[in-house]
Amino acid sequence: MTKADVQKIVLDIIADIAPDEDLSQVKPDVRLRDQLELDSMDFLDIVMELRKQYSVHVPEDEYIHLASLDSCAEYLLPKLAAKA
Amino acid sequence: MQRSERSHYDVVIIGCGLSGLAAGIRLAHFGKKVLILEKHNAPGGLNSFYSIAGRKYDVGLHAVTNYVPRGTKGGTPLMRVLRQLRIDWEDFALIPQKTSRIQFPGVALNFDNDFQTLEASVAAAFPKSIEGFRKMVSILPTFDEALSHPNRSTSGRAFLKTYIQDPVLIDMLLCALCYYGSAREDDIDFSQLAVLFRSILMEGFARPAEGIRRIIRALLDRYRQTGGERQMKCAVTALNIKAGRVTSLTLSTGEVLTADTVLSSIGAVETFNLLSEKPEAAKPPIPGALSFVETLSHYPLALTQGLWEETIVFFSDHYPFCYRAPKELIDPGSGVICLSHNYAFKGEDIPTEGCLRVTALAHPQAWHKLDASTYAV
Ligand SMILES: Cc1cc2nc3c(=O)[nH]c(=O)nc-3n(C[C@H](O)[C@H](O)[C@H](O)COP(=O)(O)OP(=O)(O)OC[C@H]3O[C@@H](n4cnc5c(N)ncnc54)[C@H](O)[C@@H]3O)c2cc1C
Repeated sequence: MTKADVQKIVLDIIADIAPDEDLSQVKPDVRLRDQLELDSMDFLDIVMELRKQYSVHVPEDEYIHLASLDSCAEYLLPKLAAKA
Repeated sequence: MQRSERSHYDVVIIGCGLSGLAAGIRLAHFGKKVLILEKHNAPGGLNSFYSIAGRKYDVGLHAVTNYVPRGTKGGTPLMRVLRQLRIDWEDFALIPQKTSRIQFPGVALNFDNDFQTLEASVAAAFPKSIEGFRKMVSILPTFDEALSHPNRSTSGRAFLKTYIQDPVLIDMLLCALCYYGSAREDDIDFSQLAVLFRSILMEGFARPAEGIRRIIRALLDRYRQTGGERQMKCAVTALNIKAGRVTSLTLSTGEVLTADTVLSSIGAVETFNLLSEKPEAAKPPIPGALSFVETLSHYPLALTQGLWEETIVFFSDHYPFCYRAPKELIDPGSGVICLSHNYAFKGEDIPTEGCLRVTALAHPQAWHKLDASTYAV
């Protein structure tokens, strides 16, 4: 699994949660909130999908690592790789 | 899914109305074992549906409020609800209103799904108050702010008075907002005022051609797909308390269920009445003072041509506006008129009949004294 795979996983989850957002131009180094309309409830949904689909648990005080696609990849790669 | 064999749930929800269903979908999404219990055979609660003599009716639906065009940004309630329930825009099939009106003796305000229409109408009818009106709009709390606002239970009327000079304009705004959401006589809670002003006057009205059935079907489908369970024709008859907590529910079937959490959507008074023992410190909730009756009539569509184009008309045939429980069966002096054929339907959605729905304040005790066979259809 690569960082690109992790970014794709996160983008696929966002596509399910927010089908009305255009995800084709998302910049990996910019905060997701600054380029997409995602509120705190949407981040809860992202965390939930990570748990449901990949059994990855993200504790509340670590949500901050989900800020951008780059930080998601950094943070989730070891967790996802451990499960794979 | 209908009910499984289990007798313990993470969450049991009392009531399969719109809020019970919405809560059920969210909880099931989060992997909770959820059961919705509903005493009626049909889902939907106050926004349910029925048929008489081959015609389909909605129990209550005049308009879905908070309508914004597809793709609207800014986290408006409709878009947030659809997203959080993962329901596609098409699934509600909302058709916007044409135009609506607030009618008082000798003066009318027009509004539609574009706020500028109302602003222009206020400016034309109440030129002295337009500045104050704009000021009021600019400081109106957002939806989220309103619900947790420190002044949420204060007088909405007093708030309007601080900005708007003309007392007739204040009453006209109150007429629309009270009928769509105040349980308080001659006034409205400040938080409700902010929420309804945005929902009705700044966002707008729409409706599925099929009425509420369409929306309930979308919610039920979603609830089923997420693995939620429900049991219909099954009332909760008691909430059993041990050590200050609800630990089990007794059902009309005689069964007893346990749940980690119980959510009730049936109203504060109704929920309080189900408690097996009343907490000593708790004051019983006070029921609202206001009730309504609605009458519905049908017309061949041709008869409605050339008449009103409005979708909703809030009216009072007297000033000052009076929003109080009447002494008679009903108070016909003010109310809401809904012409549900006057949405911007196209093609096969155009209804074959016109429907006139009139809402008026009622005196429930007077109705309860009547023999139902004298007015039943
Ligand atoms: C005539 C009328 C017109 C309306 N028009 C509109 C409109 O145009 N637009 C709009 O947005 N809103 C409208 N409303 C308001 C809207 O219908 C309600 O706000 C909404 O339906 C409330 O939903 P709810 O799920 O919170 O509660 P409810 O719909 O009241 O749901 C509660 C459910 O609990 C069930 N229940 C009760 N007791 C028990 C028990 N002991 N055990 C099991 N189940 C139980 C009930 O049968 C019901 O199904 C209207 C309301 C009325 C009455």
